[in-house]
Amino acid sequence: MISYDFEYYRPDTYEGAVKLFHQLNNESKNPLYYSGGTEIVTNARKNVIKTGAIIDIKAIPEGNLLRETEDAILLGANLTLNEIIEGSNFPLLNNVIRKIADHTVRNRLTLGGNICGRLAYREAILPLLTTEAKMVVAGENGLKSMSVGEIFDKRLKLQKGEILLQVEIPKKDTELPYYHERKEKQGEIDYPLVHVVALKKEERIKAAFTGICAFPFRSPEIEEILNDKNLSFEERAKKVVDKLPSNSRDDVFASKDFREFLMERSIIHTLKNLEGGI
Amino acid sequence: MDQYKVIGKSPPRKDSKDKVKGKVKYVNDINTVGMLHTALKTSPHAHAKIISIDIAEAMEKPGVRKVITGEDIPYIVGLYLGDKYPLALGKVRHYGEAVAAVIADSEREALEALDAIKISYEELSPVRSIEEAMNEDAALVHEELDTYQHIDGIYPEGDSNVANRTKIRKGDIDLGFEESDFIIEDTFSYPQGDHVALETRAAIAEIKEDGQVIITSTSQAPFVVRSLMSSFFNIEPGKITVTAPPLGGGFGGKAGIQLEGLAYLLSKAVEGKPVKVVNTREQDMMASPGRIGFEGKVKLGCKKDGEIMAMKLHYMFDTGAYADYSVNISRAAAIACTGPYNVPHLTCDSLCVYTNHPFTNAYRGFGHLELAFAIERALDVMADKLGMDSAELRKKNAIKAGDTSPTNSVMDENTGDLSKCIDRVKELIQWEEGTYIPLGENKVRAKGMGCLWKAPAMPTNTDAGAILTFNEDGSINLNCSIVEIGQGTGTGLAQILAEKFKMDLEKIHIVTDINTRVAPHDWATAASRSLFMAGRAVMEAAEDALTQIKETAAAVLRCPSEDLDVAEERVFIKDEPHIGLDLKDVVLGYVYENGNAIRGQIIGRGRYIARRITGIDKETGEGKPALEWTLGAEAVEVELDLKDYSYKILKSACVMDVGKVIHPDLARGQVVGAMSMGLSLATDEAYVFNSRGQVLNNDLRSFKIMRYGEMPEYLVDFVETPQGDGPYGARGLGEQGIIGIPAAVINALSKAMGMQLKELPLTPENLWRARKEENTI
Repeated sequence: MISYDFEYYRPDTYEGAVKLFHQLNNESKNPLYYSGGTEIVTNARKNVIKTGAIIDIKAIPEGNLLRETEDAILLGANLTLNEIIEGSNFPLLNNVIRKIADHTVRNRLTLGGNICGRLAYREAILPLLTTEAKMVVAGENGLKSMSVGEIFDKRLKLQKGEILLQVEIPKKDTELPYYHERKEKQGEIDYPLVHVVALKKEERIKAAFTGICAFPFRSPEIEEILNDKNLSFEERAKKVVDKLPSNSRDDVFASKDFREFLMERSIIHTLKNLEGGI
Repeated sequence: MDQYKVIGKSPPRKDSKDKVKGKVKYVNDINTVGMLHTALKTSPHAHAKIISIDIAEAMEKPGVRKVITGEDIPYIVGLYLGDKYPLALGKVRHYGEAVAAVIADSEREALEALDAIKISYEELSPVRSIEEAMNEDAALVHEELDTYQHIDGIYPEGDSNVANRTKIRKGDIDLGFEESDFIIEDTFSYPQGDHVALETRAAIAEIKEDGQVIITSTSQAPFVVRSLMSSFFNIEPGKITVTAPPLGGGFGGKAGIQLEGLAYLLSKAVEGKPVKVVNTREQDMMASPGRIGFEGKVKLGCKKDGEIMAMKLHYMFDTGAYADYSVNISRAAAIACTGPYNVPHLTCDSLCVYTNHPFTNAYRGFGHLELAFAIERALDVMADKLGMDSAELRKKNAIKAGDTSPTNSVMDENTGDLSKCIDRVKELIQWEEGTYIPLGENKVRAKGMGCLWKAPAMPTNTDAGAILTFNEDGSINLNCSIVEIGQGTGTGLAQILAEKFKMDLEKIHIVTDINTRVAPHDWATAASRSLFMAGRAVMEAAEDALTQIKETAAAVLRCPSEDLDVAEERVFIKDEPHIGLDLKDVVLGYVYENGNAIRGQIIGRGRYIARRITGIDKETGEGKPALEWTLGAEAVEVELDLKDYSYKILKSACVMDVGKVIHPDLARGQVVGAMSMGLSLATDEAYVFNSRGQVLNNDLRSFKIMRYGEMPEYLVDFVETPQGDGPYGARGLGEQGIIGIPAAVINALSKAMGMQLKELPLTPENLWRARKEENTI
């Protein structure tokens, strides 16, 4: 049970939502955008999230779009993971998000929520990082579209009151050869200890990672190593682990050492699959 | 041959449709006008002095009636050993211990006031493991253990952390090892966890103006609650009514006394108004008891041919901060310490050890699960040493009629056939195909076995009762005191009754909410003794009712009552079956055409009390504490990835000698459910502590139980060596399916890894670490 009172709003437009956010923020109500609610409800129940106002953004039409244009797949951020899995034509994304939570939760959990939520794993961002998707963001000055590389650094760098409305994935990249590998503590329905997502474009491997560090990332330095054909797969895997952008996670799910062990193995598998040869 | 009409068949369980459609009402579904609600403030520390509690601000919060702390209700509520207050008093002894309670008009308001309670603690260094607890200079979890009240048969050791020690001494241990050709010695362990019953614990209490105390609770043991409430709070037993509606799972965790005492004391604080206490999931895991932790040292001696000569056993149970049921778990483990094997020379010391971990109580398997883990693992280590097939080693030593148990009582003719169980489980798991099968370079399939035995651990005077009343249509109301905890015993008991009456099961109606005011006395729905003991009471009640029915019919039909039989809702003359009466015309008294009526209603009464059970000797353990033993063999097959140590359980098999299968589907359901718990416990379930003794995975986000989609193929079969004194030859099977599973899993993975694993949980990381440590030695 959530023990405290809060206001609930459900605007129909992103303009209305953004305006409302700033208004409620000025009233010190610590407003939160609410989409699937899987994190807000579970954390509010434990008093970990406290808010005076919830702005439900699911009625905003742009956020519920699932469309293919000639050269892009357009996904509304409010689509649930199951809606995307059942309706989108991007196998890598579908396979990655199918691993998040369980089927019942995926009926609620949304793409935008997974990317913008508090849980650090944000696995849905990984295929977007490797395909260099565009992120469509609504803010006080209307809509802006930015490359994921510009706006994502450990987390989506939204300004206060901004909403992730859509993602736009270049269609040709959705057909590239890909590989992903996810490792858990024991059962599959659990957080990732390591999740590696990679694809091969013009003979170069692009890869994004989560689980291993406290945030998801894609790193030019690591991609250099991955594509360094002078090194064996094993050497590359070791070197990648040396060049991680932060310390490896060490928590109740797994130790740092075990995560790094799994990471090396996942990288070797990725290279075997995308580069082949051995 | 189909000897029976209902027994041995699988009619749908009586409560299935309501359960599936959500119509069953559980305790927390009950809300009445004027009911007050509560929330608990719990300790963030594993061990600390309570310096002060400031409730002033919380008392001012909207809807708050009272804020209660340990000082307000200084009653001792320990089950067997008086070591616990309903709310911590003076000191907290584990992370998550309840320290204060808010009583408010709504649950929301009660929760909202929690933050306003200000508690100041002085942290003490916690006792963080069995090893630390057993150190000579260990901090004491209970400094005044010496002075605590306790039941007979447990032996707390003052000035230490040992809450109970049970000793078994049989044969001549030195001689046993002298005569052994091979000796192994090793330690096997696993940490604490939780039951994770779907329904969290809840209790509602109300005190009437005349002093009547009305309790509704998620209880497996409403009569235990009545009796203990009476002694803890000095209330006349007759003034206490406890009702136990169906439960959403118990697994032992709702046996004994749980939140009832607290609910009563809180009700008392608000002039007896109805007060409901409900655990959140996190509190159910931390503030209420979970599953015990274990460390077992086994020294095992065998002849060259595998004959077991001696066992020296040292079992230590991590009960956490309070003893609750656990002093009896360690005792039960001593009584059955060898597993189902004939061991001539034996010593066992089984200790219940206090730590500053969350406290624990009964959990499916009750000590037998833990001892089986140690013994069955040790047997595989020994089999490797002997170069012998581990199933053969087990068969060679399987206990049988005429052998003696660890407590030196002679196993009687009712002893099940373990060898047959082993043979059958080998067939199911295809043991002969090989127990180690490489699959290419990086994968291996492996099989492991674990045998089991279990007797109910219960008071010597444990009893059950049954009352039968009748309806106008001749149908029967079956009033037994077995709580529905998911196991479906009610349907099994109804089958026994239907069989006695040779009538359809549809005409038997079960009383589902057990109310101590009207239900016959019964110890508890625990220890896998319900079908056996209540089954016996039902049989006696049926005989009693049948006798009365025949007496009425004999008068009407003008024949000797011994010439009558009852079947298909008629009472009739055996050799002239067309002469008879419908039951409906007899059961509420027979009415003649002119209106005269005779004999009145039939009320069937049945009782059963455990036969010839004794306690055990303090120094040697001698005695006969076991009502009956259920024996069985289990095996699992795993597929392990040798590169990253991930694995799958492919198959899990169980064959038990249950005497007689009353309801095959329900029996299978119990066994499969138990196996899945064992698999989950072996592969993942364990509390993780930090260096301050705090639990890091106290919710279901981080404490994972196995999911439906992760289940292996389950293979279940039964052997039927009749239990002479069981109803239709049946004996208990509710818990047993879990017992051999953790051992079977660790044995399979040890085989797959080619090394001797010793600890649970068997996460891939722990396997990886075990391999790494082996390589560095």
